[in-house]
Amino acid sequence: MNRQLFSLSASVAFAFLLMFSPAKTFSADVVADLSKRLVPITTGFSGTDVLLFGAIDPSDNQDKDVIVTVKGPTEGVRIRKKDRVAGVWINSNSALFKSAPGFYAAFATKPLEEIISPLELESAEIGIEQLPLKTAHGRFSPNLELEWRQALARNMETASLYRTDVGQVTMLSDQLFRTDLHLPANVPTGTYTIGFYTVKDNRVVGAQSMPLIVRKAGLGAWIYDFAHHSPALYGIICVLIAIVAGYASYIAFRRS
Amino acid sequence: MQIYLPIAEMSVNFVLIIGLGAAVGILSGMFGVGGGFLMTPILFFIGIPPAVAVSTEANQIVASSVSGVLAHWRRGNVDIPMGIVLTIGGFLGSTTGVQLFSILKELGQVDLVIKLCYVVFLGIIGGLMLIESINAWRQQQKAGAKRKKLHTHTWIHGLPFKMRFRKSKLYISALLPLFIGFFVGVIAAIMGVGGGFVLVPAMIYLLGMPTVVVVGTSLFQIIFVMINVTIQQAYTNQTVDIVLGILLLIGGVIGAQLGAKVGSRLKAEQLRILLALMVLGVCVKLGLDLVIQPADLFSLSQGGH
Repeated sequence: MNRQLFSLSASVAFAFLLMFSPAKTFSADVVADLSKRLVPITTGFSGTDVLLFGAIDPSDNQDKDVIVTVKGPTEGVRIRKKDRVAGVWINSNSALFKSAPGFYAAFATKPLEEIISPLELESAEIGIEQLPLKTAHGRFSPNLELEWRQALARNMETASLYRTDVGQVTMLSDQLFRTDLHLPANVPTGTYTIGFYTVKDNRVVGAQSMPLIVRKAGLGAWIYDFAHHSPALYGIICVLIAIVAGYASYIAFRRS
Repeated sequence: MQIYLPIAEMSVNFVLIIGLGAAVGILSGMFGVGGGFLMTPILFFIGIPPAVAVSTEANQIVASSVSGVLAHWRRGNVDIPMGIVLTIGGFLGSTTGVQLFSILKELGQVDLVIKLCYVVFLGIIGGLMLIESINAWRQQQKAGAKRKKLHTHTWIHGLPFKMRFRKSKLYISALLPLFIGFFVGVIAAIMGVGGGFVLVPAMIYLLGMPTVVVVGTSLFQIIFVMINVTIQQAYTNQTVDIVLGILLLIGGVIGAQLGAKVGSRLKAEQLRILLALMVLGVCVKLGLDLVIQPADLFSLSQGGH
């Protein structure tokens, strides 16, 4: 079959690529999609689930595992640290992680250490440990850098924005897989990258990536844009609404 | 039940917000206090970023002050020249306050300063209110309370730029109300309160204004100062959340109506003690949050880049 032939040549190409470069251009023996490509944050938004699913090519027979990564937009995350000054805990230091994504989650069919080598994780940049998280500070010692990095991961996890544990990818047959991605109400807006990887014998043998767009929509988006693009007019309108409401309640109050 | 607040960038239960707005509205209707100094800390407690809470509450105070001032206006209890002088001071003060707010936000210290201001002011108001209401309650038991002198003459009355304020029956330096207005303006901008709790005692005890015109005139000033705060916060910091504002408005209107009805039927002094204890409770909670070591010394910077 055409597809088998393709897969075979892809594997050969893959082997070549692996020999010469650690880069992430892999063959596409995984075909995947999302239940929605666009997540609109509307006025009623309180978080949502996105189904990530796909099929792996079973031609070079069984025992492939699947890893799915979800990486949010990188706009930088700032972490602040409190110190005690005169009995009061105040923010005294801060560090900016310029390349930290605003969201991260990983899913796999089995625990990562059982299916893929650490080296391979590193070259394919899979997992939260592989994110290029560095403070823009530059003067921190390695220990301090690690402390801040852990603080970032911990706080992002508390905010439901990072998943440090690896979620479950379910195989529906030896070909079909699926997993549910939960996006909480506080997800940052922007373009997310969903990476699908097939793994065999500790190595990534196939990969596909796909964008997922999260953006404000409807009335909320309109208000946000208005407040940021014409802040003075927005302020005046807010005040007018308040004056009218105050007057209306006075009239209602007087009658009763 | 959930509604997404576009500026605060979080989702809240709108029934909860309207309910809280109504509860604070009831209190303000019962005691004739502005609800800002209770509503803003409550918004902190439910997780609204302090910067958004303060700016949005300023907008809500515009509404409650407009409906309040109209009633006083009809009875002729607004000293307009005095209100204008206070407003000029308040404009300068609140503009300074918003700039200060913006600098503090940049430094990552705005939450701390807002909360410290609250601890200090709530502590003072709650304490004074408690002492006063306990005394008043006691004096009710004994009959025949002593009458206080209207005001005493001090160095304050020797300041230049004297102006005549007919309704207040005062001939004093314009500098004094100007300064009071300025101070209240700064507080209003940083704390998201009308500042009535500072303005009213200052007008009575420092300026010596008759009590009848004090509330109407202070509301007059508060309207213009809060309009200035809202527009400036929206312009400089983009922290006015109109969706949250409208929810608070709805709650506040319902609450104030109920409060005024309930308040007229209940014994005021015992309730005043309760209000004082509540204010002190909020003060202690905010204070402890600042003093007790947080579980995690590190935190995400809200909206910080």
